[in-house]
Amino acid sequence: MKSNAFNICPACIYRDTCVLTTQKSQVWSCSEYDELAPETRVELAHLSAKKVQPELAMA
Amino acid sequence: MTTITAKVNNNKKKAALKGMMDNVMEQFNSAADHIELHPNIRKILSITNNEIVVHFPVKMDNGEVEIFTGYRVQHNNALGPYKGGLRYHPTVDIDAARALAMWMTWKSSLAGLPYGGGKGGIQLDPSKYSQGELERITRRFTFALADNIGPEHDIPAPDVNTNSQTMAWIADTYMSTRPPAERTANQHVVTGKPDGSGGLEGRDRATGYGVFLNIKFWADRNKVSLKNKKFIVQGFGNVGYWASHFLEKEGAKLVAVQDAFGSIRNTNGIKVEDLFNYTKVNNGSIAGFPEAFNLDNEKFFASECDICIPAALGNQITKDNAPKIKARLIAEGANGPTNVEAEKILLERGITIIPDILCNSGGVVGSYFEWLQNRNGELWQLDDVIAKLDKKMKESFDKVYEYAEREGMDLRTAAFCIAIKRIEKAYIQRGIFP
Repeated sequence: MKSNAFNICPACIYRDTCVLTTQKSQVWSCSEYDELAPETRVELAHLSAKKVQPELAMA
Repeated sequence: MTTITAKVNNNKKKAALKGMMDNVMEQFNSAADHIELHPNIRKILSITNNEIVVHFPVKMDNGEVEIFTGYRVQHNNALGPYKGGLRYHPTVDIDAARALAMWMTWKSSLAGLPYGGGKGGIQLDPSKYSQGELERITRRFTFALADNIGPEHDIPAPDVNTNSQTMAWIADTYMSTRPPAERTANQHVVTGKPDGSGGLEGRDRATGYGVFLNIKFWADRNKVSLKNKKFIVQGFGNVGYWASHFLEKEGAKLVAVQDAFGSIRNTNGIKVEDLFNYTKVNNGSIAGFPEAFNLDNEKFFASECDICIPAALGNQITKDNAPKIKARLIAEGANGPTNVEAEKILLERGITIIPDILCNSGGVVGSYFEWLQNRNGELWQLDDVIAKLDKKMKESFDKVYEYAEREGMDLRTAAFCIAIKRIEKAYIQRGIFP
């Protein structure tokens, strides 16, 4: 039986401080889940040597 | 590009997700035993119909090309087109999609919708890509899926890390690949689109409103007034907020809330709109809300209340906290918040659980309305949407409640029995080709 590694906690911005669960290994949906905000993404893109700043092409 | 189609006559069952999805398989098998599901139909439902894997190239902002892997699993379409979310996440794979697609089959069936179950996604970390890159990834994925999705075949929806913008890109790309005269007739290839692009008014509150309705139907059945009833909510996202909003309007009192940042309580009541406005200026957090006290996170589920709404994540009510729960009713806004051991304890204590598959089905019903609206070339007003949700959710609740009473079983088992029976009936009526 193959065990599935799907888990959203590692990518969540609250992973280190979240009080909802201590079992951060098998969470496949969560109302509090949040990725990095787009603004942060732009900042990170500045820092990345590989990527250039994205176009502001949001519709 | 590789397309893999599962062999339907393969006797080996595919492995399902551990944890919550193990529960789903267990619930399926238990319900199948209850209704003495025909062994041939059990075989069919234990395996997915189609599993599509696509590898596709996308040009990045810096001019380099990256190859992405996308999935779409189509579990069963006996009742209608496959329906289910698309998630963008580094750990998405075919096993996850398979288990979640199966879950969607039961959910759509129970809700009485003409849908089957599907799920999919792309293996990526969206935080590493610009908005422009995400748009190109989404559009190229849609092109790679080609006719494996379609408004009458497989209808994706938002999920983890995908939203109405993602759906608008998919719809636009899919429509662009159709002959000119057919383009606008294909808008319902996805649901969860933005308001101005075929989306449904009120879709944002559909799940939370559905949770509220289920609580209200239960209260009506038990001749209980919701006025001054105390409720607690775990998760103050879309579902938790809207469920609280409608319960407060009905006279119930929010007395404790927990989110990722902490727990708060006020036995005299927490004003839902005040808390919502506070979270908007407090980075989305309820912590430090001035009209409430801090509550020990461990004690949240033991709070004094009549109704408990776990609306955040799975596996929250366990054998450890189930004996301490004071609520008479648990309304599962989240997916899989109560584990099997906890459910046993709660049922023995006479606590009713409105199961996730029923309680949070307002979302998929909302999706169905959006699909119908697009398909019929209509624009529905919010009050129409609410009235139709009332009717649809009532039908589902009544079916489950009456079945549970008649058969002397809990609501979850009843819900699974109804969902599976409906699919079984379709197979019996149609037979197996050839």
